[in-house]
Amino acid sequence: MPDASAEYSIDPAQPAEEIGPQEVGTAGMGPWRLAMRRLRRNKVALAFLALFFVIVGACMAAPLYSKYVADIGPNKNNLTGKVERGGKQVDIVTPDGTPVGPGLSNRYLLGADANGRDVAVRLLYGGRNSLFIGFTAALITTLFAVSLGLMAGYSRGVPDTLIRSTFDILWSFPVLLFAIALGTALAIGGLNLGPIHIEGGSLWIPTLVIGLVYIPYLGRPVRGQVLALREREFVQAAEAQGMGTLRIMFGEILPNIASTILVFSTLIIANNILTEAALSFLGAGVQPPNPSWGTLIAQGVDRLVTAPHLAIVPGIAIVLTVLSLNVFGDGLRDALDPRAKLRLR
Amino acid sequence: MKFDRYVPEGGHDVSRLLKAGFAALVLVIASLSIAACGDDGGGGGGGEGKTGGTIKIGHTSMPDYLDPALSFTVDGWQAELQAYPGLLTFPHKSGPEGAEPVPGLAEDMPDISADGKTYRLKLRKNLKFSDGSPIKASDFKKSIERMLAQDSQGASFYTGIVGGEEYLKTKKGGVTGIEPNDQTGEITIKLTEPRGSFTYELAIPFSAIVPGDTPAKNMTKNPPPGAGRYVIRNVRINRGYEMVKNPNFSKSLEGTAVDAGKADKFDVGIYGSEANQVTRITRNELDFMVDNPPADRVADLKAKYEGKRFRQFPTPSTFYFFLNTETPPFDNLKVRQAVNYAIDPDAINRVQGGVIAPQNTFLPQAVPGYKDWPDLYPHDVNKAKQLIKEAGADGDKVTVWGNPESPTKETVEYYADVLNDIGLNAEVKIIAASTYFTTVGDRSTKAQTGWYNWFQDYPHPADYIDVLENPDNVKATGNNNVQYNVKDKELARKINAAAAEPELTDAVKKQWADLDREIQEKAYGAIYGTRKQTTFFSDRMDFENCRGDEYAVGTHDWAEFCLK
Repeated sequence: MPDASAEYSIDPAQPAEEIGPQEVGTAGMGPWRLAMRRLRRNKVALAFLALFFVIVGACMAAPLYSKYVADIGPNKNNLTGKVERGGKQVDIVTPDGTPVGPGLSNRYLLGADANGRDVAVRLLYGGRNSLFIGFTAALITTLFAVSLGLMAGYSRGVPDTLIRSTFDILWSFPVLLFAIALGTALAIGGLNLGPIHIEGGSLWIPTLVIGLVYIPYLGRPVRGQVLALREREFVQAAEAQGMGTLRIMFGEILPNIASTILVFSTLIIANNILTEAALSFLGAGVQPPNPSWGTLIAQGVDRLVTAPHLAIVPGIAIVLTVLSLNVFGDGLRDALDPRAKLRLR
Repeated sequence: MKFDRYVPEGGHDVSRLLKAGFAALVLVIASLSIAACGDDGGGGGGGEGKTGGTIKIGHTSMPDYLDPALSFTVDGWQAELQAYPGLLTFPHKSGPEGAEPVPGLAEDMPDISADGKTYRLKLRKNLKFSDGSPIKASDFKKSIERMLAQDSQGASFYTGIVGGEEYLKTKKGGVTGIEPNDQTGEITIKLTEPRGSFTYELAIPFSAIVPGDTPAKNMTKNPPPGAGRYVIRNVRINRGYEMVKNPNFSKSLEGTAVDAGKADKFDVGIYGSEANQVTRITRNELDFMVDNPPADRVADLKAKYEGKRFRQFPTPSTFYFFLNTETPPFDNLKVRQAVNYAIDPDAINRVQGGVIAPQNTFLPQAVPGYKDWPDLYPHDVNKAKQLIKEAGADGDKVTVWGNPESPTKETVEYYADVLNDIGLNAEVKIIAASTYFTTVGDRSTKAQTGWYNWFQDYPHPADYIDVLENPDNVKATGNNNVQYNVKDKELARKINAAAAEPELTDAVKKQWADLDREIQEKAYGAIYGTRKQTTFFSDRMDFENCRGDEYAVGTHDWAEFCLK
């Protein structure tokens, strides 16, 4: 992930001549309102945002689909049952282990997996899990990265050295290998940290692992921006007025790096969904029988010849979700970047 | 022995890491065009076949160990049976002919005393290890001590030797019941009680002779010298190894049962997924895969290659879910019975790709003592639910153990769903295949229930019932009896009595059959079937003459393999 501290910032302290001429009819508008105005004009970004909401909505409706349409739970095995295909009752899983494929019916719309589970139901429930991990891990990353980045950049000295070194150490591990190592260890033994006890099969394990490994990727640019901002006049003015450290950090500096955080967060969510899929595919993420898009692909790979839909359908879901987040994230970056004003003229 | 995998200390399970890469390869499979054929029936091949050449063999993951003292899997034994003969050995022949031990490094079969407690053997003359060093009688004693010193899973076969049990516990004083004479080559083995299966146990790799100074530690990375026709070398953990003809093969072993092996070399690789191996075999880049092809390929392979490159055959094996009687709720007979009622062999057969033949007995059909008992637990989910309620186990938490290999994972997911259906609160725990059996075989793990299978080490009921169910065989680690039914002293007494019988007479077979029934009644496991194994060869291999399948020990005998 590139260091976006220079690319994605809205810096109110930036000299006017560096920002460029004002947009027509925008005099007096705040940076957020300007950004919204630019975003509204970016139809592609909005279309992909809508697509993302459709995906999220469908996944949130998984219990309804499961109960009222498919009539089967996400983990319910049905190996000896039958389903209608072309007016005939066929085995959901044949005696030689071949699952039924997609068909136009309420039940098993996208076919069955090797355990006779409804792929459509598992796809939606898997999406819930993947999105939960993507969002929650991004929240964890943002929370820790921003707090630590602010603390390091504003305090400098020993805290900065400690935090920066920790970031550097975490950064030095290849992120996927680091996540696999952590995920595998925690998936087996669970997490027992003082009063915190999380079972190995919990969704919180991959969530925490992914949230942790990406902290430096946001923390470092945040620290870089804070280092620059703390030398600006508005910070010195706040100090001169006798404002406390925390108030300066969170009341003065944080709003000035909010755009960076916002843009990074959308991209991190997309990245988290991909990382979750990779971890689950390799067995270090969501644990069976819980579905996630990664676990669904992993299950499908072994049956690519006779049931390619098992891997292709969740693969498409991941592509669409990540694409929609990335395109929207790009749109958001353009909207929040003052240099993008040139395009609005 | 079982099917499982190896992961080195501090290492990664390569199968996971490679999975992504192999997924892409699998995509290519759909475009392959393959020839069609018929069926031939019969086992092994058994013809002469060509000698020489290199045969490429595929594993999905690294075998558990390549150290004869430790390996207890089909994957490990298929190589070790070629490299590490014991005093006795199994003939390299398919079917029943290969099931009865014959002299290996010993000149003759053991001279057994009238009370069945003393075995006398004599080493052949001028025997050499593959490194050229001479084999001494004392090497046998030290090899058994080395195996016990490592708390091997095979230890229970030899704790009946005088001093064996004590040595296993203390690791001191040596196994006093083995008296070697290096001058004459004579070896006397004294047992505490007679043991009818002991001649078989002198033929399996756990009692293979390795140099006496071999360290008592896992030597997988650098396997110790043996006296077999082949030498295992160049072991690259999670990547593969080679097996080449022994340059110092003893002249006194020429023409004996140990002197077998047509190929010059076996190039054994770890390929990460069964699907990848199928692709390579169809392209003739690989000659044989140890594991079965993935379920979704079987129908296609059957249609195209059956009788020419592909065949399935029944194995003497038992597949079941273990039920740990030391941990609630499986300390309750009603819960164990409920599980037996709840599982559906037909469903399990489907989830395992049609390779399971339903079986309700612990002993498979090919093993003496098998009796076609009526099924005590016909599939009845309502009955199972009722038993769970009666036991007061509704909502009890259960962890179902399994590993990520297919179809193990799918099967335990099915099993967990069944347990949830009948009122338990089950979740799945998946751990690396390489460490699976040692983990659940560690008593302190308290693994409640999960996947288990057993392929025979030798065709004797003791290899199933004594090894897997005898309460006296429960130790701290390395357990094969993961039912941990230690409180059942009566069962232990009966198994010990049957195991002590020197001959498998009809009366003794009935003893074993009755024990089989008692184990079913006590529901110490949830037995569901026996598995078919596959021979799938490349076009380079001589399928007609050299299949080496239906081998009594380890499903396939590589010594029989040959190229066209």
